[in-house]
Amino acid sequence: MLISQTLLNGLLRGMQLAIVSVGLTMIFKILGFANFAHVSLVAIGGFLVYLFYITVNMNLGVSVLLACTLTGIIAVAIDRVVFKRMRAAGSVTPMIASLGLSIAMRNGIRAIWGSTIRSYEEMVSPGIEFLGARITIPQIWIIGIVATSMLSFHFLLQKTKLGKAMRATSDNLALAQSRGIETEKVIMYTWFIGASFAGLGGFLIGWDTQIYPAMGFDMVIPVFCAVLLGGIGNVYGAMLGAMVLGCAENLAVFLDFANIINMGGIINLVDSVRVPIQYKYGVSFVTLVIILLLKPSGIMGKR
Amino acid sequence: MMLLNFAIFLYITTAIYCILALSLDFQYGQAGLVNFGQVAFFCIGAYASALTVLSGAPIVMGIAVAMIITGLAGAIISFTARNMGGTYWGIATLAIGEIVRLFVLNEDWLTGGAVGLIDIPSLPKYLFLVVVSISLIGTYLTMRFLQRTPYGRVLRIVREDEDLSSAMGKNTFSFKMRAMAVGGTFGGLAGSLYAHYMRYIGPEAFFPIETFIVWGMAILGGKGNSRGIIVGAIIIQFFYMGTRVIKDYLPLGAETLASLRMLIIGLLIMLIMMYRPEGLFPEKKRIYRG
Repeated sequence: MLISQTLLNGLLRGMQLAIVSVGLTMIFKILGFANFAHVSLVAIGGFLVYLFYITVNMNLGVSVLLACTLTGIIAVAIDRVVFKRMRAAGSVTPMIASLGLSIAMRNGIRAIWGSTIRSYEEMVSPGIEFLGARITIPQIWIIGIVATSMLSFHFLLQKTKLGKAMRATSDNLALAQSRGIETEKVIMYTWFIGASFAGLGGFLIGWDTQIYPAMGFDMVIPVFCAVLLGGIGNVYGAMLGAMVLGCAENLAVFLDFANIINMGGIINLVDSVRVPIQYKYGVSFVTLVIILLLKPSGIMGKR
Repeated sequence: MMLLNFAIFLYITTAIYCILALSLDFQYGQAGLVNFGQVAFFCIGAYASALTVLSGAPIVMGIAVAMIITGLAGAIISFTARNMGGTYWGIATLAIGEIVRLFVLNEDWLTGGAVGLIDIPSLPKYLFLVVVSISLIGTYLTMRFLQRTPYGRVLRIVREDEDLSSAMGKNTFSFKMRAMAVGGTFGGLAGSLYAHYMRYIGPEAFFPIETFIVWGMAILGGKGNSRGIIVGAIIIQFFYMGTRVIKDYLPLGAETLASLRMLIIGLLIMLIMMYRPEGLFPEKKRIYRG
């Protein structure tokens, strides 16, 4: 495989992780707990698109819009029913609750749709040559959609009153409250936006590959890894962390580490040192453990 | 005869889960360490014991080796996070559990890979019953004993207020690390018994979902209350097995039923945290009068 293909795959994976991790990092910072149910919203989004697009046979764009909105509404409802009563309960109680909820959501999907792997299109669309790498039409769309979403979110955060309120709430909830910001309302919008992005991520992953009930939970470690790399609450850090991780996963199994170990040919210790392809997803597990060990505030985080 | 065999099966699996839940509760209930990778101890214990016994050693030796290795593993993984704070420790241990499973799945030379290990030696049925009972009672008594020692008291202070225990001159990291080692030791015991009872182990038995079932047991029973933990483990295990027995009488496919079972366990965990985070049998507060 070519390096350009590896980097393209890394970019795609990074973008899929980025759109999911944005919501997680914001909720993590504002409410102060690790929401394991966030990744299950990915699967919910993916399957809702399947419901509207394939089962009901709606237009793809309309299906995606509907699915993302619904995922957002579901998340707001979950916050109202489950997490609102735990605002003062510390960080561990809501985390365990979110884990239970995550199991329930994943198995709810499995009870309805079964664990068969599904995809939106029957045919795999042909690829286009680009700098020696093959890229499919959906993949071009994915890059465009994620880039547009991230940019619009950037403008929302920096240029609108809501964005300002979100940043204030995330910085210091009590202070924001004392300045007359309705923090509960801000929290509601944060859940909605974050969950809609997660749902959109579910669709994009499904469009690129397939959907299955555990698709969300399978990315729980990579997404947390991206969030912690960027520093909790740092939206741009999470985006960057996701891209770094996506590329690292693909590069780790592509590169031959013999050159580094032999110190560029000075000594000849080994012929070829490669990370076996089965360990591709281990990259994020190991990265996560290393970050937590060395710098839990993230590579971009403040002290 | 079939009923008796089923009763024995139910008893042994429940006892193994009780040990696993007691081990988790020592980490979470006593030390406040949120371990979402409990299955790693179960897995390492199962493989360590199976491999030892398959190479010719007696089963007792396998159990001992398993407990030593998982105890060490518990101590070693404590070094992977600086302060083992609640949230971070949860995420880190989930990752560690998955690293262990990935290792077991891919290192064929040692673990048999996806095929797993077969023909693991076992004991005669009734002797095994005795061994499991002794293990469970031993685990329970050890937990009760440790809770009453000065070590256990400091551990609870660490759980409630880490700064306070530091101010009292206690090395909180050392206390937490030892709690992980104790948890690991007994998690490994459960894994070892599981391997010799099932006589077959493979990576598919060690998905994170196993950890979450054990979590359901521990928080339903009551954080920090060993007796409660056993009740919790019995309730969840009977529910789990019971829904398997009634599957012939329900108009649902096996897969739907399996999903609904996990759906209920997930919701149960959530509801307990919402309405009764201290569990069915809350920890008894001991009042010291000076």
